[in-house]
Amino acid sequence: MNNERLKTVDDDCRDIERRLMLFGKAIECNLSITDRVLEQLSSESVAQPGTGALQGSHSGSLTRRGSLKTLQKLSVGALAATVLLALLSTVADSRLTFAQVVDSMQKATSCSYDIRMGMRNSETFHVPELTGKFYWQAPDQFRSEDYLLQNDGVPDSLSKEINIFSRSEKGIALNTKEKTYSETLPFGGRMSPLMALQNLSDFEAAASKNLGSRVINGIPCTGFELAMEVVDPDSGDGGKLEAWIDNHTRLPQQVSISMFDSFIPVDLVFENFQWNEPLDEELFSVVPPTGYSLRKVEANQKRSHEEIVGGIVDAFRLYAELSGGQYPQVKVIYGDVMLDDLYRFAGISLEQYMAAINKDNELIVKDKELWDKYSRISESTRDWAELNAIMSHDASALYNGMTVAPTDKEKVLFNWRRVDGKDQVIYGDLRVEVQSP
Amino acid sequence: MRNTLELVEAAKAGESEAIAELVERYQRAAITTAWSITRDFHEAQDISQESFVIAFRQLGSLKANEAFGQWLLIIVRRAALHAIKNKFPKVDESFSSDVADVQPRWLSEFADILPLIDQLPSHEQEVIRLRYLSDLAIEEIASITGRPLGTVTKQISRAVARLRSLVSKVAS
Repeated sequence: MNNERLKTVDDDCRDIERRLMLFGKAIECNLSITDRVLEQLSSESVAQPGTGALQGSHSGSLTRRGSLKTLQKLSVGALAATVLLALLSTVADSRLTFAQVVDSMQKATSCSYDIRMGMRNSETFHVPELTGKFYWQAPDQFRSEDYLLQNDGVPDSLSKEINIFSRSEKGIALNTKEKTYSETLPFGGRMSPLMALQNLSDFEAAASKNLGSRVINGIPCTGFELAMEVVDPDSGDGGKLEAWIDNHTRLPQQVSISMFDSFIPVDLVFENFQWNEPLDEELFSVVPPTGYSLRKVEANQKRSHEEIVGGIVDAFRLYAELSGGQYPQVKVIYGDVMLDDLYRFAGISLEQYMAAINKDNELIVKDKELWDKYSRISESTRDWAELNAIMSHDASALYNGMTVAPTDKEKVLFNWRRVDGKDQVIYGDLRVEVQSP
Repeated sequence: MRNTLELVEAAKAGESEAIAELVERYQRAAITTAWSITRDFHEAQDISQESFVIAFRQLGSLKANEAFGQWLLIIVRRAALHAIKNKFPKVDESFSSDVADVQPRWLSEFADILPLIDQLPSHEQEVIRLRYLSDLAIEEIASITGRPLGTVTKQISRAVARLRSLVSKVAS
C-alpha cells in the first residue's frame, strides 16, 4: 500500500497528531513482519516454551561489546600467555624463574588455546559465554576464531569470524556464516604490549600475589596474579590477570583476565593450551576458501577519509572537553577504555549507564546535560575504533597525547600515513593538515 | 478481541493465530523502537522480526503474560543496541538526509516528521512512538514504560504541544 491511499483518506490533514497516526499506519502497511515471523517460527518449529531469552539477549550484546575490546587487545595476535612472562619477571620462585619461562616460550614453535569470555556472575547478569579459539605459529602467523552468537546469545561454533594475519603480510577475515571474506592490512602498527612476544625483556611487571599450586588438567601448576595495568598501562583500571604455569614444561596451562568493560565486569579465560603441536598450514592460509565471496560494505557504512579524520578530531575534542583539557594519557588508544574514561569524566554512574542502555530514560534524562554527554560519548564509539585501527595497522602512526595539550598549536598530536602516501596530521589545537612526505 | 494476556496464554499453547495477532499488535512498536536506535527502518524491520522470534521461542520464561509488550520491547532494544555496536554505525547523520537518500518513497513522504520527533526529549519521543506511530493504548504505554497513567497522559500532551510549536516554527 502506498501513501496515495492514505492521503486520499485524509488529504487535507495537517494536524500533527493525525499525520503521526498516518505515519504509523504507513509503517504498518509497508513494513509488516507478521508473515515473516510466522514463516520463521514455522521453519524453526520454535513455538515451544523456553527459558532465558531476555537474559541471554542482554548479556549477549554486552558480551559482544566486550569482545571488541578483546579483539583490540588480546585476540588479535595476542599470545595472551606472554603476559605470564611479565608476571614472572620478578617472581623469585626456586622452581620457576622468569628466565626459564622465557626460554621455554621462545623455543616454542606453535601454540593453540580455547577462549571463553563472559560477564562475571552476579545477581544482576546472566553469563553466556563467547567462545573462540586461537592459533599461533612461529614466527608470526596468527589465527583467531570468534564464535558468533545465535539469537539467544549462545555462541555457535559453526558460525565464526576468523582472522588470519601476521605483522608483515596482508591477512584475511572470514565470516563462515555469510561465507564472505575481506582482505586485512598487516598488523604492523602499535599494539598492546600483550602482543609483543619479541619484546619480553621490556616488561617490568611485578606479581602482586603468588597463588600457590594447583593441578590443571592433571598437570601440577604454579599460579600468579598481577594487575593488568602493570602489564599494559593503557588497558584501563581494575583488571587483574591470573596465570597457571606447568611446573614441568614451564609453559602456560591457563590464563584468566578479569577486567571492566564500560562498568561491566568481564572475565576472559584462555585454556586447553597445546604447545609445540604441529598445526595444519591451511589454518594460516590467506587464500579465500572456495564458495566465499568478497564482503560488500554498504554505502551508508562507508566513510570517506575526510569523515574519518573529522570523527577522530571530534573524539579528541570531546575527550579534552570532558577531561578538563587533556588528551588521552596513553600510548595505545583502545576504544572501550576511552569510553570508560569519558563516562567517568562525565559523572555517569553504572546505574545511569545501564538506564541509558535500556532506554530507561526517566533515570538519566532528568538531567539534560548528562543525557547530552551520554549521547555524545556513545556516538564517539566508531571514531575511537577507527583510531585504534589506524594505530594497529600503520607502523608510522604516532600518537603524542601524553605530551601534547589542546593549547599546543604547533605540536603534532596524531599523525599517520594515508593510502595515497601523504601524511595526515592532527595538531594539538585539532587543526588538520595533509603533508607530502 | 482478545486482550494481551489471553493472547499470550494462547500463544504459549502454540496457537499460531494468537502469535500472528500479537505480532500485528506490537510490530509497529517494535519497529519504531528499533528504528529509534538504528535510524534505519529496514534494519529495524529485521531486528523486530528476530526479536519476535526470540520472544516466542522463550515465551515460556515470561511469568507475567500481561507484560508481553514491555518484555518484547526490551528484547528489541537490546537487539538493536547489539546491532549498532557490532556495526559502528554512523549515528550523527541527520534523519532528513537519511530519509531522502536511503529510505523508500513511502517513508520520504513523512520525512518532515522525523526531525521534529527527534527534537523532543527522549521520554516524549518514546510516548509519541508508542501512542501514535504504534497505536498502543495509554494503559499499555504506562505498562511498557513503567510510568503512572497520569504521567504518560501528561507527557503525550506536552509532546504534542511541543510538536505543534515546532511545526509552527518550521512553517514561519
